[in-house]
Amino acid sequence: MFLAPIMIFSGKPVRIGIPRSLFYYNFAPLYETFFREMGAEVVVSHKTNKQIIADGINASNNELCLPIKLLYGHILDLKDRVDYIFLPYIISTHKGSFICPKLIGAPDIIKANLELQLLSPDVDMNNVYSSMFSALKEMATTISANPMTIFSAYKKAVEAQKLFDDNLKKGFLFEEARSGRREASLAKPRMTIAIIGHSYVFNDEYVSSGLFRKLAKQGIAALTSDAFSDKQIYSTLQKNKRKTHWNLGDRVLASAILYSENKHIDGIIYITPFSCSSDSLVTEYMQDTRQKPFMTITVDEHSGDAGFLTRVEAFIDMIQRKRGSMRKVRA
Amino acid sequence: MKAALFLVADSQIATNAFLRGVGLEPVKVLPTNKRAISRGVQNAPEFACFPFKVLLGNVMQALDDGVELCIIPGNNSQVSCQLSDFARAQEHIIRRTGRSFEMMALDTLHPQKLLIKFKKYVPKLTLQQLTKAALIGRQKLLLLEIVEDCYRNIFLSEGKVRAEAFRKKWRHKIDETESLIDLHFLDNAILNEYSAFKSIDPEKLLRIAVIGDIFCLNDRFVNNNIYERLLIQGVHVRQGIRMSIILSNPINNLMKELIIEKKAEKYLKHNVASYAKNTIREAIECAEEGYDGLIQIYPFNCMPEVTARNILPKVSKDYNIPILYLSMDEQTGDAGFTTRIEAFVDLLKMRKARR
Repeated sequence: MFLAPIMIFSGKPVRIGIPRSLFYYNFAPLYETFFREMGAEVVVSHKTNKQIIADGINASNNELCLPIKLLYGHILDLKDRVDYIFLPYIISTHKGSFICPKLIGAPDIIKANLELQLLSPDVDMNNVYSSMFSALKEMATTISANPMTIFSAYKKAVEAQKLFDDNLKKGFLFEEARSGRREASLAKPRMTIAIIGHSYVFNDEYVSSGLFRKLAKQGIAALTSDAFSDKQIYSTLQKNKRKTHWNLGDRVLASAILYSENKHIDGIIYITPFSCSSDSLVTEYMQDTRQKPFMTITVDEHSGDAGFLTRVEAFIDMIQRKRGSMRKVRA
Repeated sequence: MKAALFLVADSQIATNAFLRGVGLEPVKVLPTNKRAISRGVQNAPEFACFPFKVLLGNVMQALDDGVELCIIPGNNSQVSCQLSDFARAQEHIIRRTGRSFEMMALDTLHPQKLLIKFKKYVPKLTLQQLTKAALIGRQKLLLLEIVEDCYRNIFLSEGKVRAEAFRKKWRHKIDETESLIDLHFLDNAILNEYSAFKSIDPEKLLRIAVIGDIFCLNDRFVNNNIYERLLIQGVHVRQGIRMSIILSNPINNLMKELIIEKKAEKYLKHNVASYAKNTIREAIECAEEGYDGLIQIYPFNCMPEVTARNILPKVSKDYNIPILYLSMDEQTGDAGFTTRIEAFVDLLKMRKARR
């Protein structure tokens, strides 16, 4: 009775498209498992490539930040292959703070500029009635209405998400956390570098120029700002009295503080998209806590591989040299 | 204690009256100027929004003039843009230069909470005094806006000179009047005098509404005096959001959000901080009222207004109304700005003639 018309007409499973951008990097297992358990066919957009970036820039207005331009690209990539595109309104992921206004309005921006069918429930931790479950439930009723299926699918999805989160907390990178296997070559790294920023920026291989792979090749282990739980983040900020109004800014700031206190970290690289307003004031506070080698890299659609990697290499050389001179002083 | 409340230079009459009422000594703050902006730009983080930089410059300038307590507008709604962190970040930046001063964010309109904030600096302050000061300040702000509206209409009907004289006279009168009751009857007096001037028929003129970010719309230096530029070309201007909204009743605001802003819901479902939803609502309203064109004016890197800017093209298409988008920052030049506005007005004139 509640079946979506598409299922009745074609008899094929509904194809749900998930753009590989923004909060996909935080909630990928949850989304994918849930829709798969519901009996839908899940299509994730391709990894960011030249075509996607070019499409995104052409379709979007200027003055938007790179992540939203990429979102345009990923949605255009999915557009013809799916029945629905899943893009929730993520308003808050932690009680008392909010996501950047541009990202709250992202589904509206997409709807206004592209003619599409979007599935956009609200996810707002400040509002009891729009948690992730009710959001997914709202979606599920568009596909199939059996409450038991919804509940068991949600349970499985949460389990998958929990496994993923635990893996992240062990210091796994995004891909490693998804597969659950760690790269064996990094058992004894010669150096550990912390990469901080928004997860949708550094996890995107095109934007971060395959940074993690290249670091691993040189025997350098990388940790990200995703490795902390919300609890750690907010207790650190409370201690330092630096809570901002943005979930994402909070995470960046707290991980900068935590990593600069960590003895095993040799240096911190901060990757931020050009004109990220919610990060702009956070960088101001970050200056208080710089005790480690620290580098900020601003990325946009024009930044090339070569420039990016040269800077990273120079940074690593600098740390190496610093270590050498320290050893001399001690001797 | 020498204090300054930073709204915009034009509303200084009102803010000073408020500060006097509270028991602080108001200092005359220079309006936004090039030097202040360049100071703000030098000291602010790279991607902070333009109002942040301007305000920082103004605050630093005021500190040089001997201000001890800086009061900065803050965010009093739930979702927030950078505004909510303005006071804290600016304090952080200026403290680094080694200055001693006090900073306060006007982030609540709750009388009791406000009283606690002010008691820190004026220990003897009572709730009655505070309320009275706030009412006087608000009334003056509203009166100033009425004068400004009259000024624009007289400008169109009788020219700039008479309009200037009218504005000067009444601004002075508003500044002088101290009692709340006198202020209450002042708006009748203003409108009485205004009715002696030749009236204009807005239907015959080209009508443009200027919408966008509150700071850009109200600071005359930041918006490059856009209203005067439009008036010179014989355009009837409607200003979008006014500074007095900051001091308006929170219950009123809530009602507005619930009832009136439903119109914008179709385009922007959630409140994305500041006045983005309001901008979209105003665009729809103006289009329905038959305005000839809209100008959205917003600061570079303003999160809510950039969101609105990306949705407005859809409104423009749906309601068939042309919109000019102007992004302001410290690089905005005079000539380029004027050329764009003139070209837009010319286009609208042609469009109107064709109908």
